[in-house]
Amino acid sequence: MRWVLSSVLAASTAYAEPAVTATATPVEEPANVFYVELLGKAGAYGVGYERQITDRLSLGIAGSYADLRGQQVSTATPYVHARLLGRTHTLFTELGAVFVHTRTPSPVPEWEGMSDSGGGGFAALGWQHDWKHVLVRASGSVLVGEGRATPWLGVAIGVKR
Amino acid sequence: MRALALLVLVACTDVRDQGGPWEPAAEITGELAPDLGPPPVERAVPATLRVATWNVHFGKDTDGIAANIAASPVLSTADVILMQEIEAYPEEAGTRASRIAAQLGMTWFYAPARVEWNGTHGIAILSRFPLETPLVKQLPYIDQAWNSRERNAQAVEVVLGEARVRIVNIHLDLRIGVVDRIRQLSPAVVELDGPALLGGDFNSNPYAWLDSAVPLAGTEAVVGADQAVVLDDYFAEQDFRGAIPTTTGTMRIPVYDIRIDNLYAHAYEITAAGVDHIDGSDHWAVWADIAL
Repeated sequence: MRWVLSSVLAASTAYAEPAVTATATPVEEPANVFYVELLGKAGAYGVGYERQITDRLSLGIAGSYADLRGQQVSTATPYVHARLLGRTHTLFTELGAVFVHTRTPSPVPEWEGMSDSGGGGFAALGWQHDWKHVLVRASGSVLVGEGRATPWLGVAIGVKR
Repeated sequence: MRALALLVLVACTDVRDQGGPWEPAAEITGELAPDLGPPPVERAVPATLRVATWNVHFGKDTDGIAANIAASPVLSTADVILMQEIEAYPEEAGTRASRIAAQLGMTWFYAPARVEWNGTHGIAILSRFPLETPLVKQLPYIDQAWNSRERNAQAVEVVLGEARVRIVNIHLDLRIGVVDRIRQLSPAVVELDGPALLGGDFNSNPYAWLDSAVPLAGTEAVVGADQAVVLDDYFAEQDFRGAIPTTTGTMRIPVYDIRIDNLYAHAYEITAAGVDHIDGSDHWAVWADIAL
């Protein structure tokens, strides 16, 4: 709880910075982010890329392929990332689509196995901490699709180029 | 983060063995020796057989379970009840299956899967009709990150006059993916001959699992990759028909219901089926009527 409060306070403090620095020399932010994610919007893990298009908005895509004891799960997630508050400690939101294909090969001779594909969406709210070329994120999200709606968590670490 | 990474690294799922053959109950001795009851009071053979399956969550309150069954309009009329997650302890007056069955005027066949504390944990078949040819089968052992357990199946013939109805009861692992679930289930299905009714707690939860440690609930939400769907597809290819659809829950977890129990009939017609929202366990009971 103290960690959450600290994060929110830090984000609030950081939010005051742009007003001050905006009148000074603008800082050039790296436009690309490459990251890896554990759990999160692309399933068991994700590899992602984001391209900043405005000061607050980025477009991104994350994907993964996992072989889970024989069950193969492929996930692709295009999304919009928006910075809400702060610079160094940032509150952000993401909104996007999720496409999943699962293939279940048969481990036994009497069954053929099966596959399934589905699509859905997700909305996330998260916290990001930035260093010069590195960022870390933690987010909570809701995924909605053919199955049901479910809460979900993820953490990510990335580099800015 | 480091703890989560460590958890993923140590979580290592594997199939350790392929289980055992169907063994006659009388040939199993020692701690895992089955417990069989005497024939029940003779009664007329019905036109349909009502079979139910219920995970009784250890079955500690035998009086309460028997009372709940007796009070249920559906389960009180069941001719055969398959029970999972039921135990027996030497300090108790008989196996829990025997005590529940005795209160309901049924016979029983308790098949322990493993030793639990100073007793045993297993599955049971309770019946208003005599039971013949009781068999027990150890299922493939799935080595998981924690709490790996021996699982078993039991088979019996319910004697209905001159006819015999083969019933199979089964309880599968929980935190395994659907490929391992089929691996664990298959030996109990393919080695059956002729008409049969197979039921139990298949633990067909709706998730793909990251090494038996993390359920990928997000993936399931998007694609609807419910293991119950895959299980139904597997059984359909073996000419088994399920009693209830995947959308009918048999257990409530936070926010929604999941179908992890079911009955499947091979070469029998299911004329009616449903879920009995009976109290006394974390599962509800599934029932089906089959035409004889």
